[in-house]
Amino acid sequence: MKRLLTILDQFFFERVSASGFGLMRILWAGTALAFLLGSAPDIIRYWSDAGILPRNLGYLVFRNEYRFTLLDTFTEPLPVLLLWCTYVTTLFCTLFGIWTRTMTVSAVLLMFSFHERNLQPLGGGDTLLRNIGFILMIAPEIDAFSMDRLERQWKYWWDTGKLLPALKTHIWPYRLLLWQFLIIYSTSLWDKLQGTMWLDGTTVAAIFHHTHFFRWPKLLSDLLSFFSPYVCFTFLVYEATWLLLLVPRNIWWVLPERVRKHSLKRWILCGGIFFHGTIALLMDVGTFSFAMFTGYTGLLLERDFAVLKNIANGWWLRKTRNYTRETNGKISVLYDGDCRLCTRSIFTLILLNHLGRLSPVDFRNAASRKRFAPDIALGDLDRAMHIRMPDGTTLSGFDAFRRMTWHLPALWPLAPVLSLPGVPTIGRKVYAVITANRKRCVEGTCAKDENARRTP
Amino acid sequence: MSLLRPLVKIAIALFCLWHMAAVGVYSLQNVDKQPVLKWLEGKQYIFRPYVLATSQWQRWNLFSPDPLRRVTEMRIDRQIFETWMPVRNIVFGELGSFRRASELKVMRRMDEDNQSELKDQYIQDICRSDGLLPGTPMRIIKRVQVIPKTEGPQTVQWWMEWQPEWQETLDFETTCKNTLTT
Repeated sequence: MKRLLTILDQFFFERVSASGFGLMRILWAGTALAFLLGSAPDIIRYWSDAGILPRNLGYLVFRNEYRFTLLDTFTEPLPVLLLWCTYVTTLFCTLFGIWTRTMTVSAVLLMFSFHERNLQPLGGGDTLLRNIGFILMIAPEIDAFSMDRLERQWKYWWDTGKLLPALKTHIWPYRLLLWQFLIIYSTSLWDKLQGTMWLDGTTVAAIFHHTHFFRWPKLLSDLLSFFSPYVCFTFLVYEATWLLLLVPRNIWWVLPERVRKHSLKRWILCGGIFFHGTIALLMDVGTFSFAMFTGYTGLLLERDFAVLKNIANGWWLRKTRNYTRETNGKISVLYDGDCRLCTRSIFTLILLNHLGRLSPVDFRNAASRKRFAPDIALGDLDRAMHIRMPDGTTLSGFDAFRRMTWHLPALWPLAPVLSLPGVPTIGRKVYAVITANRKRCVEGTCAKDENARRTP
Repeated sequence: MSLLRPLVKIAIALFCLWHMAAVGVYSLQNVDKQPVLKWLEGKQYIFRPYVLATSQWQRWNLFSPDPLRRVTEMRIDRQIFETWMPVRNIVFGELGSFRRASELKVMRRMDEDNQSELKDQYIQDICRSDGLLPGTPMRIIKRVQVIPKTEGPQTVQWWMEWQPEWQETLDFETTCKNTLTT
């Protein structure tokens, strides 16, 4: 009995990383927000009594039992509009993690309200967003990557020079999410097997010729029809593969070591990204593909993040293996530990340093400076931020920042933009203005005297 | 405190099992030929209040059992001096990216359910937004084509030669009502 309780305790309450759910919160709010703003012209049409479905015709579309929606109370266009604005605001706060728990719960309940008011425009993606929203709402820890945590993080880092320990949570919300995906794929597979076209291999050709879904001209759908039987078969197999996740992991010992060391879940998720990415590229099925990607992020645990990091760093580690010992294969970022703006900047870089390629070095610390930058004059270091690459190359100011963007995943979208013609010239000028004024500014106010007291 | 903790854990574990059972059983469909699944489907009433009240209802039948082959387009016309003028075209290319899926879904449901009240309401909404006078004659013209269901996969050449055969019909007629009353 005790053994059974221990197994159950481990099954539901194992401590795992909360980062996946933090990312899922962001993607959930982002997806819902993007499509909600996109449907802004239809607010009154879809959800008020002055639209296409007044409540007196509701019996044609929605059920009347166990149905709760605020929009049964707010029925006129103006209150509906105000409620919609509240919904948008809660999604914004959920996205950025401002009053994370309160805003997430409010956003989820408002989503339920809007969906229950009018089922007509809803698709599979909306259903999945609702399912994910419910799990997010009850999950014990969704604060990762939030502004709320950022504030605590800054205070802790300022006091101790370290980041807060990684957020952990119980595994049971992950289990509920995994179960949700098993339901999606298994019931979808079952339903497909009840028809004939999936087994005949003709479904994909038919879907590609349906002008409600296929985005591209007929010629492309004609050409892609060649793949129909192969895609039908592969997709059925893919959906069935999800059921393998029900097999307990310790039974996999029967497999050879070479196979066992790979995570089935990660391969399945990669397959899902490929399938749903292709669907999003070729077809318009509303929020569906994006909702699936959102759910996938909640299925990522520490091991998965570690593998992603290793893959992303593989090339980098190979490249830097033979470089100098001082840098330890990392990029040394030399910053002014006496300057509040610089300290805040380095704090931001550390937060974004998910691949662990940056190593901050306070050049005000004589020993550190002697070790990492003995050849750079203090005056030069004081004028601009310097970075030293593992191969010994040194860059400063805007050029240093531009190089770092390639090593910080969150800034990857910015990296190519900073290399566009003209941008470096402007960037260097802006950087010069900032560094010229950096010591005057403390806590958002700028003193006239350059020797103004700096807050530690 | 030490007693409360295991009780909370047991409550959470039981809730998880309940939720998993609820969404699992409530998602069962087309199981008439499977005795066990059929029996489980018969127990859906147990979970119905929970699943519906928490908005966790779901049915994953996208493009299944067989994909939708019927392609529908609608045009809404108004009459001016005996001449019919189009006011809306509900087709893929004329709807914005973020609105397309929802609006086409609304149209498909309106068409599948064939509810004249919903069609009338759809038209009254256009009358309101376009400021059409009460009594203006309106109609819905429906264009339908059906993608062929073949015995097996066809060649690229076969698809290139295939052209949709659209059939246009008058689907619904009404007049704009006094918008101030709604």
